Amino acid sequence: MTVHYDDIDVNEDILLDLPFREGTGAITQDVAKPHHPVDLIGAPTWTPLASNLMTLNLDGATQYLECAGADCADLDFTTHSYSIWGWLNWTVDDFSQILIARYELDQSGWELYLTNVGALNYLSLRHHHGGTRTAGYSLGWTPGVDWFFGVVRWGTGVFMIRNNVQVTVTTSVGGLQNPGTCNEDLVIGTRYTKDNNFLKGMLWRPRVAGGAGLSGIITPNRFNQVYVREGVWF
Amino acid sequence: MKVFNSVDLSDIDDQLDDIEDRLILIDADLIIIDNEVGQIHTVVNAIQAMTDSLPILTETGGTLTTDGTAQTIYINNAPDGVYKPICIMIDFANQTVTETTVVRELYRIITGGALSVHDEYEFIGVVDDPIVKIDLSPNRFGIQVTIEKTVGTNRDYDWAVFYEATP
Repeated sequence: MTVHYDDIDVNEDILLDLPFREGTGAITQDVAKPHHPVDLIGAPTWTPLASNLMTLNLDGATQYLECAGADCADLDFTTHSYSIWGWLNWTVDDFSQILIARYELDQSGWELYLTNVGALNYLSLRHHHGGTRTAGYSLGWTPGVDWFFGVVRWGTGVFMIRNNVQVTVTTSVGGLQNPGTCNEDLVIGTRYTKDNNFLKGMLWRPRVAGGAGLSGIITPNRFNQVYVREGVWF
Repeated sequence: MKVFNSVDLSDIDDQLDDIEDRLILIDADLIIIDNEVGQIHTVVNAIQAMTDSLPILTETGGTLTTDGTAQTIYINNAPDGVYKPICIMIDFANQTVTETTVVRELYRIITGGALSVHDEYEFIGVVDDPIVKIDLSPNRFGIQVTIEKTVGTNRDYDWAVFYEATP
């Protein structure tokens, strides 16, 4: 018996899925239907875990992943719901590190990033629009730990899952506003200008789903199924 | 004045005794049900362990522009376990009479070994049935498919690969 990728519940509205199976080289393949071409910049390190699962390790200095804006227009979420999920293990270096983003500061798009302030470790989803930005964040993303993260934008709300637990999210007054239309590159591990906020640490299988109405929303139950299935590898 | 209780409670007492007996039986049944639920959990966990380990039929692909070197179309350099690629399809529709390309299928069959050529396919000029399908074999230590333009102009080649893998 074989399970078919597109028949799995969680993949219903999937737009980007990078399982990092190559294990070498400067290109990683998107196994979601859009086949986004994603380049590895600065030679991130292909690093197998003890389970032999292949991951990517970014150095927090120069390494990141990118997909040209023209090749990922389907990730330009404005009014639509969307979800982002995967695994991370970060090391505090730059106090603010981009996980995955497609944005221009204060103008357009979305970004998911980690921040360390003293003992507080944030994961934030931020929208950029009309000269400003709005955000939702959760706390407790301790560095040096393998975390499963699941983030959902639904209207003005943000929902976050850490491992198998839904965590408290604090949002800007009025909630998340619609981001402006964005033409920037998709970046993983750095800011949109690709010169700062580099991610330092392990990343495995970042995924993005999105769509109109309720599509693009991954429920906590589905995130939990993914966590249970994939957690054995970490 | 002497007061008599005009209600005889003996029937109610009997019924309460019956209820108490039945509650004891229900308690016993609940213990049995608890045990059975526990067994069901065990079976469900076992089933989940099996379904979680089922391979997922997955596809990826893209477009590669040749540059005159041996370029990787598809690679899994270090599978996390036994791995089952199925096939790769390459579209030669853009190849003209002036081009020659070579597609190579490589495998690593021992840990730490080299990716070595298993087969080599040369395509000269226009390919009449432009989508070429190459069957791929199971492996544990690595697989790679490359394309090299040896003669002519650099062209775009669409490709898709299918494989089964966990997770």
